[in-house]
Amino acid sequence: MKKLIYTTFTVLSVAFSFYAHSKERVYSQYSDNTFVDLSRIYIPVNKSIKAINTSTGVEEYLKMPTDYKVSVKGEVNGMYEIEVIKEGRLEPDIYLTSPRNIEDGINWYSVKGIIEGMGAVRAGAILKTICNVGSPSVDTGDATPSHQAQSNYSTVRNTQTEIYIEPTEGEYHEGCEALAEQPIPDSNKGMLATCMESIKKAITQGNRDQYGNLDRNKVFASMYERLKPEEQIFAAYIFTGHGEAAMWTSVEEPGEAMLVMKSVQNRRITAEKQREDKNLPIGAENFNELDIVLTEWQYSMYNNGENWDQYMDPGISVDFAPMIEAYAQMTDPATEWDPEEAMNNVTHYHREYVNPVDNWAARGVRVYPSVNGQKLRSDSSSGGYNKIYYNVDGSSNWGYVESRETHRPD
Amino acid sequence: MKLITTLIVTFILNQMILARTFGEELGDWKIEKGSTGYYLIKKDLEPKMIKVRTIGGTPKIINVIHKKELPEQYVLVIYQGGSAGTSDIVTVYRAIIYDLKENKFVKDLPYKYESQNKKEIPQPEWNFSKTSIKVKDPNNGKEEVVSLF
Repeated sequence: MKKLIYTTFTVLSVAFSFYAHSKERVYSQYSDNTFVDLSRIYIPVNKSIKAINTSTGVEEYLKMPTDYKVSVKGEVNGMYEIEVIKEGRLEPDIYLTSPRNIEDGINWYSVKGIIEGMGAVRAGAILKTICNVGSPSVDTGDATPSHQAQSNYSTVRNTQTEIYIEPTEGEYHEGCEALAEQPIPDSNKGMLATCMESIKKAITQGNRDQYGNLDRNKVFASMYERLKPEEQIFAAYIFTGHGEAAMWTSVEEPGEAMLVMKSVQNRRITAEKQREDKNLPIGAENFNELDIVLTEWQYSMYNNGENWDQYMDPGISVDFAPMIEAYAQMTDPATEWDPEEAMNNVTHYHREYVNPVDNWAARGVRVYPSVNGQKLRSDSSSGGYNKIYYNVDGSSNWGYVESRETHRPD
Repeated sequence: MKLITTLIVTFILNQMILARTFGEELGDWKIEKGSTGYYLIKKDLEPKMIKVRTIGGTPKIINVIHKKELPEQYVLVIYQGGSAGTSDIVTVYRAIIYDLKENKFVKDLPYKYESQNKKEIPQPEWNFSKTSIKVKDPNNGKEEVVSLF
């Protein structure tokens, strides 16, 4: 028996030196026709390994006898990119180490056990085809450039005072209890308008400078600190839909804001999926839609100097009814997008009159959507103002989230 | 005569190469894509590598500069960290401080923002002292302090 185990171990070890490299994955050959995607398994380390922490560029040692497990995520410049679990917790940074270190340093006996425990491997489910990104279509549509939404709010401050009463722990802000019922019934939409007013008061109180202007960093931080998770998500959708598409959205035709919200939702799903792929420890806080929209520079309406404050200032009256309608329909499972699969991957759009540097948009695939049978006016191919994309970041989609390092309080 | 000329030229070229520190010129660096992101690589025999940040698109090295406020041993590798936006495309430039004497990375910091619509964007504020660098980004209120020694 010992001899059999030793033989298997040796075969696997040798097999490792015949890595099949793809552009994005590193595979190990398990048998004649089965390759194992090494990015999906965490292998115990049984010998100290030297590795570079890619966030600092500093060389470190994964020293024994500390309990380390590693997963090979890819290859760059002749080095393996590895994720490291130290004593049961995933290290936040990616490390680089030489293939030789992996070959010598990991516990191959454990690899055998892990692989054989993965029925999915034998079924071929782990083996993925790496898709190439399609070519972008060329659009010559006539665009009407437009800046941030200017409509639907009054430029005259009303006399509303900023009195914010913090709700009892666990309770919703006034009107926001309607968020508990999904999909949103028509009868609750009025309450959600009240909810938005409550949210505006909550996130702005005490957050003005000496001139009475809202302090962007403080307001954004308050969105995390003072709102319940459900309210954070709702606020993210409504503010972003309004700031990005209010001018072209009405209660009767909410599709334009629905597109904006759909891109937010898709980014959140991708970010969350990527987080899950990293096998983060239980208890790690999920990304939410607020993390997505407050990630710097992504949705232009939140940029320093843009109009975000006009939508969040309780002293400025804003009609959010079209956005609430868009939110209700966007979150309703009965809503039909066409083309469905592409729309489930739309993460980017931009105005016709801007050109992303390095042309990242060229890597995406244009999509010409309709929702509930209605063609979106914003699509530039129909004389609208937006170019809408999916697969901007290739097959892995887009999950960039940075707000935790900036606006989300510690 | 020809041999002597060749030897002299070779000697001068060698002296020129030896006279400079590897890492202070653009050609000493490159950026490569891995599976988990992009990496800045100093092309030593045993390469030095650090992950760079991109907000969208492919990052690229713009320049390697020395700031007169800093000791000689430090260079800034300026790279373009991509672009993002819906109605205004903002391009982000970042600077990785590298210690040529210790041959190690020091810090990756925001350097400059550019608006395609020519909007005025608050820029990262860099303050140097003999022993540290402070960088405050008004766009998120974050301040980072880097000790140099």
